[in-house]
Amino acid sequence: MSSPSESTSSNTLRDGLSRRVTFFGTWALLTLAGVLLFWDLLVRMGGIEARYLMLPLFAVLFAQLAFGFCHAAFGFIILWRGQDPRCITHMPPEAPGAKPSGRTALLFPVYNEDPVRYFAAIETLYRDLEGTGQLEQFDIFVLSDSTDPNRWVEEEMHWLVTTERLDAQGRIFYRKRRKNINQKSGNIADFCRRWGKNYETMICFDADSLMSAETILRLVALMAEHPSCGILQTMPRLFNGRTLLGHLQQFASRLHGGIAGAGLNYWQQDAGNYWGHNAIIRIAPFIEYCTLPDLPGVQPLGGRVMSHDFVEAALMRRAGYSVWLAYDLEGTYEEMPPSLLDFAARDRRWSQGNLQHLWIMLFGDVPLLNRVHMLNGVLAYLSGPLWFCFLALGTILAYAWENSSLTLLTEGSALPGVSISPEAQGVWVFGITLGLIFVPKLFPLLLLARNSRQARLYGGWFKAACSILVELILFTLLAPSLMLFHTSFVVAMLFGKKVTWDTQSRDGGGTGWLDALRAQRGHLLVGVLWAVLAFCISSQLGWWMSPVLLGWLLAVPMSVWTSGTSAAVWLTRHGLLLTPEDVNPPAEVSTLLRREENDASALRPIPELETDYGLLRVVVDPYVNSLHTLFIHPRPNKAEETRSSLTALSTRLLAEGAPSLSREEKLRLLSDVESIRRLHRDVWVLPRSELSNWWGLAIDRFNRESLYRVALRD
Amino acid sequence: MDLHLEPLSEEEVNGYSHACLDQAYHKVDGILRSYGMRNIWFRHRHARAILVEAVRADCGENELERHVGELTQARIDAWFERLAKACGLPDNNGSAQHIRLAALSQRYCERWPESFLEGEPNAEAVTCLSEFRIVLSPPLERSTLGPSVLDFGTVESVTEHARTMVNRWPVLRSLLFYGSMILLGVLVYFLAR
Repeated sequence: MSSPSESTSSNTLRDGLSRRVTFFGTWALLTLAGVLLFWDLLVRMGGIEARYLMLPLFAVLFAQLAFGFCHAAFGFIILWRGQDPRCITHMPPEAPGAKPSGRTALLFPVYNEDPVRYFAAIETLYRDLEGTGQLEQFDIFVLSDSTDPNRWVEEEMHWLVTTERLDAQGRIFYRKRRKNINQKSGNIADFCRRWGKNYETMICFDADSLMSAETILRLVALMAEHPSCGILQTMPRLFNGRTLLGHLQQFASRLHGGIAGAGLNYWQQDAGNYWGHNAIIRIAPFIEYCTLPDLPGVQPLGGRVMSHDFVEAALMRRAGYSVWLAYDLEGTYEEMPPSLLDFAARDRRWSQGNLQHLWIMLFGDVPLLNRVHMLNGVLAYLSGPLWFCFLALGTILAYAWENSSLTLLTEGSALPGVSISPEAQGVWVFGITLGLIFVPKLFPLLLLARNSRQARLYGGWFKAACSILVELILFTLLAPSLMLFHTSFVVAMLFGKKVTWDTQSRDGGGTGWLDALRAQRGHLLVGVLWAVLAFCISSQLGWWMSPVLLGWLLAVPMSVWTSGTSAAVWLTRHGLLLTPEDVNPPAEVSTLLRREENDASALRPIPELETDYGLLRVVVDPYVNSLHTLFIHPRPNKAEETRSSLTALSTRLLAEGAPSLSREEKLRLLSDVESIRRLHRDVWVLPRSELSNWWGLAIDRFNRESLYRVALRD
Repeated sequence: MDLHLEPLSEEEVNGYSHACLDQAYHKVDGILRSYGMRNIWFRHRHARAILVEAVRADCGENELERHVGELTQARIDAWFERLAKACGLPDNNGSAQHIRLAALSQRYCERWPESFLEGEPNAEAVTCLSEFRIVLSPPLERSTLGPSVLDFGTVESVTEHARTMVNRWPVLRSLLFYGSMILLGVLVYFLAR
């Protein structure tokens, strides 16, 4: 396969280079200024030599803040001036008028997710594509890695119902892997191995993401017009937040995301990144060049690559293809974790994946700018422990200072032009640091002030300003908890504790007080001890640290409160934390939500049967039984020992009921055609006296629930 | 058509207790309902016929429930075989499952209850079921993933060697741990003194 890099024009390279020099030059100057001011302050303050340990910590943290600030500032300038001519959606095509030469696969890799949600998304997407008349260009794949027997059966039923309802046989496919080797990346790789050749491009979705047909068609067209583009990432808008934290995230992401995206695109250009979903990928180079490496050592820091997306983007670029960010494309969405504990659980997975990138960043032969992406990802999680160490050192130094009986001497600054007192310089350093965090919050307000139509989509300019204030206060209180979460994740990983692959919660059931206390009692304890310590050392230190201390002391109630919906309802009713998706929902979003609501309102099984409802249906219902057996690859020549162990399991299942079997045992039975057929026959043939009470109840309920079955089939 | 739900006669009861017959009747009724036989009259007619046949076999009260279950399943299997044949499907397990799914999906028992389990399959139903298709996946087009291009050979051997060494000697491991703890303590003392 020839590399398309040869076709990249020298103008593109020159533009990209000058942008990178400007961006990183600004960032370096800003960082240097901050670090020099802080270093000078340390020199002028005097005291114990150990204070210089704070300098490297400050430098790393300040550099990271400056990096974020530069994104916002450059993004703001770009958007203020109008449209970026170097955004892929506005660039002249490499191959003008080119049409896609192949079809596109729309992939939904799922893992124990609620099928109601993503089948509603599939249906929305399908009907939307049908409306464009371009449906024949696409196939939809639900790629299941589910390990929950219930979910497995539900997925099959939803697949059949959806394909029947849409008359989409041969357009929507369902595949379940027997073993989920290499998890999500292995799932996609399995698709590529089996059917990749049939398609030119693929669009990866998450179980909670959605895209409009218009956006999908635009992505396909862009890939055709830019044959050197290997991955084209969109910037998903967060939507469907029901809890307070959900609303906070979607408001912040919607308001600041566009600016950050423009800033990111400013310097990365064709050296973009892949975020794992809501992106279109050219399949042939992906198959040929993007095989993930095995990292040295074992998990958590070695072994299989967990966060595969960054690495795949790096490999795609290494093969000579470009990776772009279409930050300005609308019609691309995803949902977010509804509570702080879910947020932290997701961060735990991501932190392990991102820290693994250190191997590739340091020792892998990948392009330089991909190393920058990886470093940024690593620092997103390392900044937690670094901030913690910085605060700890600050407290120790304050203690040493208070006990030294020294008085501050007004020593002159070593920096030219700095003629202020050390106290004033301290305030300046603090002010600049705060400025890097808070000034970017003003950028969207300036943009909204110029565009009243856009401002109305956030409830008006004044409401948007108030919402930013709410966002600032709440995130300031949540940040210290996240810092402790990240610190504990990093420490756990350094002690070799690996992360298991759990399904992300997406429904917003609310965090209970006990759960919050169990998860964050450490935060509370750290807060109480540190507050006592800080105020004992000096009240000044205590007040300086008060925002952080307050975050820890309020960790538990904040976690519970932000996971609830009542505050979110109140705020949105008063026009706060609104996003364009709330004020004027796009057609695809409102259709999805309506469909999801309808599907979720179907009758649910009674609690005694709910845990094993999938298995129950496969065994009792001839419809589901026939469907399920069609999906399983029959393996008639099983060893005698295996066969007799499966027979024993079946007998136990009928005699003792489904709750007596482990998840693995249920999966074994569900994976064996012969056992399933036999179970179905036996459950109807055997006298009630030979069946457990659980099956008696199951059959009674099944007979009564015929209405529910009809609803499913409709 | 006489829609009277005819009870069993004295002769048909053949000395079986009411409770035993009731249980057996409900078993057949349940199976037929699971196939979507909503029409109570047809359901009763089949359940009654199967129950009468089972009672005639004189298997005893203890075995009656099992026997009616087996009889019902056998009738259903035989009927689906006939249906598969009428639809021109080959005689194998896959076809049997396919036709069962097709019939259930197309609500055979609701739409053509009179031809379920007896007589010839309804002609309209045969056409409808013959057209039913279920496509689980597109044709396979196998590709081979390219080899991984990132090589950590040297790094891996160095880290693996270090890891094995630490794991092999527990004393070294504990020394490392306690050493780092002591160093940390010294650092804290140095900072705080």
